[in-house]
Amino acid sequence: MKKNTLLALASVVGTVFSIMLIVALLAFTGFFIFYQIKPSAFEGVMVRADNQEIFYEKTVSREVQSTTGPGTNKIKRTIKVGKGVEKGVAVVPLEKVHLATLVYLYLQQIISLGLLYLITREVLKVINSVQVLDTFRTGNVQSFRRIGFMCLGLSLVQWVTFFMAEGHSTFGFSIEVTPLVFMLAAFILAEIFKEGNQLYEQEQLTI
Amino acid sequence: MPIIVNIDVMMARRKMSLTELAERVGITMANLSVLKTGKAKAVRFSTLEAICKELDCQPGDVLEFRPE
Repeated sequence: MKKNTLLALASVVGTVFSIMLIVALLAFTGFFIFYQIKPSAFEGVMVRADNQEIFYEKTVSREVQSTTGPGTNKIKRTIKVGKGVEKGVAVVPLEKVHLATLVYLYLQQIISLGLLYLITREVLKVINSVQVLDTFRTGNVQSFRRIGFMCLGLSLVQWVTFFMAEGHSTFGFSIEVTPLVFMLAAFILAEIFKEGNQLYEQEQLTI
Repeated sequence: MPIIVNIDVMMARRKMSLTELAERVGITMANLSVLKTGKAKAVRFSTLEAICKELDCQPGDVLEFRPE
């Protein structure tokens, strides 16, 4: 009973996560298209040159009537959305970033989100099969293999860093290890489930 | 497979039907049919014991090794 409750919870969390991924994918595409149409709307959006993290920073100044005497006072306020930037880190406004970089970053994110969505779908398939006590089936073996290959893809898309903007140019290569660890785990699980499937089939024909 | 299951021969000798033997041994008709047709991959000692007891025979009367 406890097992079923946990599985049901995992299934719900997985479904919510997959919906969030679709929303993120659509929102990202929407922002990308909107930026092509109206770049001025993105004034204040900044990009870190080192890791391409995006944040919003805008300083707004307003004139207010002085309370102490005649005249006006100028108030400056900085609005910040997103993580702050440490001193010495190069920051580039979004409009200064080269289109090729934007396309590259967009494709990288879209592929990553798409792969994450597909991985979640496969995990949900496995959870559903465990819920109906259909655990050691060839379908689950294939699901784990697919998850393994998708984790490899997830790692591959993050290997190359490409960033070009006015005054900044970065081209790097680094191996993303975390998805590779998940890939190994998925392939090992696929082998375990394959073995389980063989034992199950054997058990079915044991009289 | 070189192992031949001769349950049908023993059943005919004892004039026992498949339904009756399945009931007496305590396995389903489908499983007994799998065993009879030689599709089974393994036989439990407990099943073999029950079959031998009900058919009043030895394991060698039910199972036979015939090289291919």
